[in-house]
Amino acid sequence: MQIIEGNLIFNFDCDAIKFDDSTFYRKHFSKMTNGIKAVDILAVNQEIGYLIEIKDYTDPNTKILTMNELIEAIINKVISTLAAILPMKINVNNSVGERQIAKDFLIANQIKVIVHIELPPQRRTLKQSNWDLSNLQIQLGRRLRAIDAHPKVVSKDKLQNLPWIVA
Amino acid sequence: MRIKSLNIENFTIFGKNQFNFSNGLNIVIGENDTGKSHLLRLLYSLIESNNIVAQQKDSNNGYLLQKTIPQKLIDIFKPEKLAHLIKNGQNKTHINIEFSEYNIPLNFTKKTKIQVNIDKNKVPARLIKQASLFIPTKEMLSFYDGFMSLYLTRQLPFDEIYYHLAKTLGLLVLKEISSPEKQILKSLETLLNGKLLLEKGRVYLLPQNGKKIEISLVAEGLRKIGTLSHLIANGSLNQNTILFWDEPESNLNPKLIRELAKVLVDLSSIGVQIFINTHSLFLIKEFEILREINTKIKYFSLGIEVENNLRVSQSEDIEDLDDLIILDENLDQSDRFMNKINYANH
Repeated sequence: MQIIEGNLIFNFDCDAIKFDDSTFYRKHFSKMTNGIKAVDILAVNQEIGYLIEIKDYTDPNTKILTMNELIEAIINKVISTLAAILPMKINVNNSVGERQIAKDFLIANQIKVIVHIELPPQRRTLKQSNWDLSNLQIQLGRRLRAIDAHPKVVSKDKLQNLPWIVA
Repeated sequence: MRIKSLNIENFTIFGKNQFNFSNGLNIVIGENDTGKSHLLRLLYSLIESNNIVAQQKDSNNGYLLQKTIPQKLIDIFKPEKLAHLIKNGQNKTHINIEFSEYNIPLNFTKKTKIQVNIDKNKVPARLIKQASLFIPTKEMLSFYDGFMSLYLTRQLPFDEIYYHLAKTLGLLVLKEISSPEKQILKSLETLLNGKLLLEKGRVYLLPQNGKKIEISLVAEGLRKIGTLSHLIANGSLNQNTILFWDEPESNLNPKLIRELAKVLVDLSSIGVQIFINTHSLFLIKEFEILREINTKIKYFSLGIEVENNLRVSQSEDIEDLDDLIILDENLDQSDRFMNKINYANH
């Protein structure tokens, strides 16, 4: 399954959907109240449910968030997405794909949060040193530990054995 | 003998807290004034008291400990009186240190002057001497010699930890060092690019193929590395030692911090039980980079809760800690920096 997100092409060997583009999320769930945001991709592989959020900072159109803004945004998206999965399984009648992946996600025995970040080529500047992805990973682990104590921060060159490839 | 756990109640800033230690590397983190140093100093005071009594080979251990512990606490914490070590607003302190071989439970009240209460039935007939070392924040390789006589004759605002270290630094190097320590000593001497030399109470750095340099002319960061190397060379830091180190990263540049992390992990892997406290996220990340399946690392994070209670969270997993102020501050700084840069660009 192929999912295109901006300039990045994700190729999954497993089931995946562009979650924030799903009909259920876009037309129904997100309209319940202000402030609902969802992760970009939902995938399920071997009973592991993946919540994948993508930030491509090589794209000049990507809004630059500060570290804490990014952390809050990811947490909010993870929570909203998880809240959407059960009603997606129960209430979706017109999309077999959406209903099935929600069903598979709900019988998963592990949830993994993946933050896919592409940064511009490394230059050793003070500004770039500010993008310390290890800090981001540790803090997300602490904040999200009730959901996934070891979220991963990855990029297309460093996918850390995840079951998909990115071009 | 290793320290397994510590239970404290109403000691200095601590309310009722329990610490279960690792046999390897124990890392205490927290803001200033959360009791990090107090924890290390308390453990050291209790081991030193244990050692004094163990050396006396007297059957009346309980009684001797009752008198030795308050004196040690005074010498190391330097309060005007013992009662000042009891948490504000409380009347009684309870402490129980659990070694791998036995426990020492004690308590004292505001009225205690020279003798703490110990349930003598719980103290074994023979205590075991346990080698321990405390390296304080201030480097003392450059002034340990004069310091010893000064400490013994004058009233100094330095606690006994400095005196102990000065005495230990004065020991001459061993002719032969056993192999696990030898490897670590070698890596330290590579960092120093030479060896330390003790001549008539003065310390020099002897660079490879070079002229000896007075230690006071060597950078302070290297003097800290030198301290560690000398303690291994003279046998006082070996695989049986319990090592305490207050902010080991102070005065070290990031490159040396990286090396230091490796030395500490290596020391813990040969059996040294280590207690450090740190403000350095950089150092913690180095530990995580070095961590392998068998590496024993445990974190203790201290944070202040409402009503001035101390919250302790402990885990082998850094992400499990309730408080990690050094990371929070790092991220906040990152935000402030980004805001400033972005504001300046518009």
